[in-house]
Amino acid sequence: MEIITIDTKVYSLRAIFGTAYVFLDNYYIFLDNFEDGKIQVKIKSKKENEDLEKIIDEFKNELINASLRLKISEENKKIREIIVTSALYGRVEAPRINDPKGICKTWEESHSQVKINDPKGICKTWEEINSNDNVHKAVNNEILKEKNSEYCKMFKCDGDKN
Amino acid sequence: MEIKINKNIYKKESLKKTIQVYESLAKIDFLEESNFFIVKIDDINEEVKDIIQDEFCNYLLFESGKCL
Repeated sequence: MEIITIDTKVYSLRAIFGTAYVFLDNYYIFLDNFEDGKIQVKIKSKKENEDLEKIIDEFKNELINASLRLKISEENKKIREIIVTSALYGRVEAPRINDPKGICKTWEESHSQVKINDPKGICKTWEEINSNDNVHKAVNNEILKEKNSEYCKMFKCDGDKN
Repeated sequence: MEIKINKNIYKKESLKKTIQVYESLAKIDFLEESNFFIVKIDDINEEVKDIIQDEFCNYLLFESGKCL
């Protein structure tokens, strides 16, 4: 078993826990002796006869990593919160950019206002052409045609072939 | 078997959770002192006798880390 003493004035308890967590898979780690602002980290290998000196160095390096990660995380806390809040509420305010020529616009944005010269309605969708009223008119016309057909006159039916 | 656990490092809630996880392998109780929890482990399952103390501490560390 090896023991490392860490000053909590330099490295926070959170960083020490974060570091220890990385080594839990292969080592037994126990934290002790919180007095005088120092913590003892006891490291024991799960494998027999393993040289722990290298691990101690790795532990110290990882401790610096963890401290830095925590520091960056605290610095970016506000930005993260803003991003998450915006994503949850779905209302990110678009920044107002001075863009008179529309360079920053997407293709869809820049082409949505273009009026296409289409007198025959080629660019219209089926739904646009056959709006509800038109469909009803077309159906009624078909029924009238059917009623006036020779077939119906012959059998005096109302246009229902069945 | 006894383990002395520092109260300033490990949280009581974490200790309780760890005991819950390991109580199927041994009889585990703890006492509270001013600065320490004293964990007593008895009637340990033969298969885990050699490692239960270390594994218990590892799990306790894992649980305490989640609470920070």
